[in-house]
Amino acid sequence: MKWATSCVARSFLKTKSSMFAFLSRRLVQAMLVMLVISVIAFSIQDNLGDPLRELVGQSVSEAERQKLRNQMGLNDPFVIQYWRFLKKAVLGDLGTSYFFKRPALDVILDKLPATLELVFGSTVIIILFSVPIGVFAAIYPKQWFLRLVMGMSIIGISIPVFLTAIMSIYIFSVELGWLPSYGRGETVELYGWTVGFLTRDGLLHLILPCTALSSIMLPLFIRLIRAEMMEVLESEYVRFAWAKGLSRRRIWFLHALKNTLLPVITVGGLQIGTLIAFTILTETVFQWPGMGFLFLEAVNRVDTPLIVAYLIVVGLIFVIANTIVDLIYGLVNPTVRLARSYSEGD
Amino acid sequence: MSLLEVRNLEVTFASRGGKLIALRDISFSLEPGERLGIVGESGAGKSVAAFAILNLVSRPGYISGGEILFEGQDLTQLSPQEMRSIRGNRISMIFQDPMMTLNPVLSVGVQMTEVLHAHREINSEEARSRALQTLTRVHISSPEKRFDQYPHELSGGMRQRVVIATALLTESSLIIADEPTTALDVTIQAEIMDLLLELCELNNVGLILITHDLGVISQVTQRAVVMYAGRVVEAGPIRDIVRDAQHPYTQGLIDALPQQTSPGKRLNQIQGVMPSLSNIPKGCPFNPRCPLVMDECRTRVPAYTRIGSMRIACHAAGNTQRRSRPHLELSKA
Repeated sequence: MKWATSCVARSFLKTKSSMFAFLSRRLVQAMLVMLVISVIAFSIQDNLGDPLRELVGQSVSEAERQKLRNQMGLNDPFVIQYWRFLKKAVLGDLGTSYFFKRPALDVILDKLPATLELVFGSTVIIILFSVPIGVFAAIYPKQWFLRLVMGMSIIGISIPVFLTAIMSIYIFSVELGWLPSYGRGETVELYGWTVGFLTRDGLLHLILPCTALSSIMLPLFIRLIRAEMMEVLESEYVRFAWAKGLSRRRIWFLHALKNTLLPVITVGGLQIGTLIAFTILTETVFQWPGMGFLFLEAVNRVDTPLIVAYLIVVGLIFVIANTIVDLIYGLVNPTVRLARSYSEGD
Repeated sequence: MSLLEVRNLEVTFASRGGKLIALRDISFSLEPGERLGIVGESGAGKSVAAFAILNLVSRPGYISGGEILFEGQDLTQLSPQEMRSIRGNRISMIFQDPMMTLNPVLSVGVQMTEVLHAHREINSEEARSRALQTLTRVHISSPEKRFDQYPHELSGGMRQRVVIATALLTESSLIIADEPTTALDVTIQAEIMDLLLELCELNNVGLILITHDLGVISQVTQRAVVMYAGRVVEAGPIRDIVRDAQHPYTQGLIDALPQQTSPGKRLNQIQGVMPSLSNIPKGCPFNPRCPLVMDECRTRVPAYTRIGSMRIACHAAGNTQRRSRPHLELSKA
């Protein structure tokens, strides 16, 4: 199955029709994944407590509560409730937030830019640091500074995000006073999105949360890239490249790096999910007005439609991100791209 | 002037347990356009010798002594930059397994033309047409199509043709081929070998052919160097070596050739295995496996003896008695 999808991924570059085939195949897969997510999301809401407690006060009598439950369909069998939910969900209606009294999807989407900005910023930090450090640590395994970095990366892996976050707030905001400790700062409205990247204040506010969020992945990727690169540097084709008299730069950054990146891309795609999950922690510590923060609040308030909407939106982001990762993988790896026209001759 | 003259080459590997000498006192030479075979079992140091010529012994190994004179220039004295301008330009190498030597994520065209770009002032149009020409010379059909393809789209034989073409791109005067046909299908081994020989001859390119198969070397090279445990044990014109091998190891290798055994009989083999680098026996390294071992062999490393045009490292060299041993009667090839 995995092979089959990747097959499609590679052939997309060849013709437009196979691009279409890839996307439609991917769309079917995405819908299946989303269906499963929706079942899970919908079924946990029963276990989150009584939404009526939040909706109405203590003073409402039990009889009235039952009446309300019947009105809202909360007493119907699960399958019927789910079917009703699904029919609306397909049309983009994920229910109304009990707390905000607005469509849950709208509430989530309002907070989406802030979270994506956080994830994007962290991804940039991870790529910017892990690739050069990993590559040079593989090329110069005995260099003292790189050894120090590798040693520290082990520590980095073992420190939980919230600790990194709180420590960095303490050092850079409280003690040194260099960076703001909470919120997004000044943002700009751009095509309906709020963007913090474009103002100095917004950028300053991004530094600590993005660093804290990237701190879980950065050591992992440095170590992954280093290990892969070391293996690739030992390969026959790299030896052959040396024997051809190519420059070091070309051997390291074309011949070796391109092969190193293949497994890294795959792992990266999977880790996007982890990164999104950790936004909940990061956003809470930094009071970042994103989806994760909203989600925690929703859990506290047993705002089930909002919880369900969050899970579905996150699932969707994950599916989209992985599709993009697959496309990138197909671009880098030719064996993926052209699996159709296999070996001829001799 | 010889094309290549290796004198007393020594390669050392610095391991945690101390220094291991992988190659000791390796000497051989090659005239322009000549073909030389280096033969020996796995672990004899053939490939290390090949990589040492290009100064590409992988760490922690390094050249710890001797000279490598290529067209009169000592390669061991060159700067990394100067050495780089020799690799792939004046001396090219062909590796054993074409499945592994081509980079899987770069197209054939990129991997060929980059050699030209590394060594010549050449624009991509010219580089492309040069590569296409060379692909035609190695009998690759529809070179334009192959140029844009990736290694996984080519068969093993075709990949090795690409590798050979890459070696021929820059008009090197020496090609080192490390078991160039071992990894290929038996059906195309001869074809690829013939192609390699033909092109070397045509361009007057010297060829060092590394193999464990004395049979192949006896057919295609003019001279041979037999290696054992990091040393040259016997060297000379191939005809003399095949007809009149003096070293018991060479004789063993010849005996082990299938054509030395009549059909239905068990193939001959040399008893025992090659010692590891860290465990080379005292005296002559071959002594534990040698059918002619004498006391002297266990204590003293044999010096080279010249017999005719051959150079042999054996205490028993020239001792005719041993040839009466039944299982060593051979050399009708």
